[in-house]
Amino acid sequence: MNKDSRPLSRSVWSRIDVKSWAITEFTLRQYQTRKSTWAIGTIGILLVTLVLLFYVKGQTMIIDSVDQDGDSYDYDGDGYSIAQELQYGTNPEDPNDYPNVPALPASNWIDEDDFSYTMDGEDCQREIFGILTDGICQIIVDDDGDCERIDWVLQNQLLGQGGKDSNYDGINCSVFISTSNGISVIPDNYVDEDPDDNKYYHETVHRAFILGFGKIGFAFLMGIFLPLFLATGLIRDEMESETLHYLVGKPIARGEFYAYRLGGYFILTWIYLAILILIINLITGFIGPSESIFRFKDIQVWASILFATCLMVMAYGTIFSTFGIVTKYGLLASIFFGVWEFMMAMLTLIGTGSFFITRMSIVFWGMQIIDSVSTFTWGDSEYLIEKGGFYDLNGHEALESFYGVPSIGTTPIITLMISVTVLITITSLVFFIGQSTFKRKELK
Amino acid sequence: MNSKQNSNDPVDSDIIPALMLDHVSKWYGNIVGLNDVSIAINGGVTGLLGMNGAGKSTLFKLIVGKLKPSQGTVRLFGINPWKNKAPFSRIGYVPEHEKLYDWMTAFEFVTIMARLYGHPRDTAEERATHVLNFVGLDDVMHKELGKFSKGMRQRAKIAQALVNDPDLIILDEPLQGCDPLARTTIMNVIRELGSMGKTIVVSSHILSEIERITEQIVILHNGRLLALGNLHAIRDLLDKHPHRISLTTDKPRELASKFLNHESVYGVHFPAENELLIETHDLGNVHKDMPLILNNSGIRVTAIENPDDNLESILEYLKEVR
Repeated sequence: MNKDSRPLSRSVWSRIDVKSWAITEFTLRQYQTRKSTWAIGTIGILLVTLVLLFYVKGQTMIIDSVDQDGDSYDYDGDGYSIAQELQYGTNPEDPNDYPNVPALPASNWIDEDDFSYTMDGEDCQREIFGILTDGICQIIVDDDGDCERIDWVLQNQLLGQGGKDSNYDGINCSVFISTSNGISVIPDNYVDEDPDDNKYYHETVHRAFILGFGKIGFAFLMGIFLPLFLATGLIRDEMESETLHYLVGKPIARGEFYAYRLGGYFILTWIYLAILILIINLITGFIGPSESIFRFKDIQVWASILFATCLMVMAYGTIFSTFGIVTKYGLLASIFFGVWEFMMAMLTLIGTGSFFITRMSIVFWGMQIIDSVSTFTWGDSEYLIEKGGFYDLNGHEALESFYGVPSIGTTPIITLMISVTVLITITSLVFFIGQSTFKRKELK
Repeated sequence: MNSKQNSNDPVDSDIIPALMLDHVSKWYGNIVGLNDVSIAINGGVTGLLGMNGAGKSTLFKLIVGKLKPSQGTVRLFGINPWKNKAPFSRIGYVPEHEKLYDWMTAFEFVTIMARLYGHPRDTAEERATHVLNFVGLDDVMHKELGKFSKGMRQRAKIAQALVNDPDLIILDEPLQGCDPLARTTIMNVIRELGSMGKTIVVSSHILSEIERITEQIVILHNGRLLALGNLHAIRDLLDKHPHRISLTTDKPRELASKFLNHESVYGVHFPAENELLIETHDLGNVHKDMPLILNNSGIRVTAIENPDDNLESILEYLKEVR
């Protein structure tokens, strides 16, 4: 071989490379000139802005705290709250019996025992209704110490509430989190009983916003509408305008041509989604409740939303463009498919995994990816929902609506892997059908 | 030709024609688009003549692999073009329809087409500039195609077909809708390509257009191959057929007397006050002597037309002789 000549493989590859990028670039430029591209892009940005305004409003709202355990009240009107009277051993029901110290403000006894659990506590087992149950035992969780006070406990015992170990896990003033069948929270009396309503509300609403926006706004709505407007006509429009004759009358296989057209579509939609999600992540990361300046942990969940949406846009795009190749009623077929996906999305949100039929959709698998990563990132979401439900705290319904437990596989990571595999497999199969149909299609 | 030949076998271009159709038929349901057509073309310019609906575009689409023949075999340089990209690096195709990417400039359009042949961007741009110069669009190549006239659009379409320096060029009605200047430019381009040794097949339904480009013609009618060969030979046959010549003059009757003495003229008519219609069995002979007759008569003639010298007449004639 001549020393200046290139190996055959490199030569062939560079030609494919040139053609692939030519078609991809051409497709991107074509999108750039279409009004529909700008329309759908602008609508997406407007919707995101609108929803973000609601989010900002929610985060700036102050929720008045409720004294969940009632110990801030001055029951006998002597100027001392019940908590302070119990602390000093005076009778909270006798106005003439009060501590010989200055009265503390009632606000000292509101929100004084916030949820102080961690989901990565000590694993333990205990018998519940005679059944040995796996879970997490949390200790040193009684922030205000009212569980530890003997006089209070005596009062509890009088009320028949079990004293310091009312959850019978063998540890006083603890919380037992059963993990055997979902998450059940079983605390001792007077433990984590007076949470900060405002803090709870902002945290749950923040999570609900990310999950809701991620699952419905991005994975479903963006996932469906971007492909509907941008992918259905990827081949069909060229066929109908007859400009396809210029493109496929070249030494390039139709299957390759179809793949590179899809490539252009993927690049456009993925970049668009990445920019939108990055902006929302930055805004919510700075505005959202956090002890540091930015909620770094959210990046993981937003990344999963981006990843799931990109996969869905890929799957829907391939399906819709294949509809466009197979039939001239491709748009209609895509709309019907979209309606099906909408129904499946609603069923998936109502009861993750409980409806088997939802697995026959794209949206289910996309949502599973988000659920897997959110469960992994925010392991305490179920705890928050359950405790919020118990104390009827504002925000728990919102989080409950959008939070989903991954229902495929034994761990979130396995669910994630299965879901990604399913979406890629569906896309590959549909692409194969599309490109083989296109290859055999007569262009009249 | 052996129909069992492997369609991807490399073939010696000296032996195998650039284009070959062997008993090719194409049906669209019950409608016959093309019926048992067999031709082989190699080198030079070939005119494909036929009325609208004769099957010209169907034939071209079969050639460029857009359609699959219902029967028979199509070979481009010995290779089956259906579902096979192999022969297309040697082919340039100008489709009939007028649709283009109006948002692109001619330069961008031809460059992207060059890149689809596998040329890197810089080479593609060089080639695009070259072919746009060749078709006479050098001064407007950076204008958007949407702002082009019909003739300019046709030339841009031709440029994209030439960008890979193809051996076979298929032009489907390239002169349709063009103004006279654009027609002349395109005809010159086609003739020049033919003189460069390319195999060119150009379709039209107007005989005079093809006549100005080439002598080698294929005539299709109702999907069937009606004639194949030299245009002059076909025209000579036609010339022996009853034919009419229309002359526009102030003195039609006086001029008629001069022609009645001619051996090939068997009748004259006066369809209008200033029109003389001559009937002849030998068109060529009358045309040969016409300048002398007109000169000797001293009568001024403002227009000479051959109303029967068109594709319809040839088709009628060919149908009769078949």
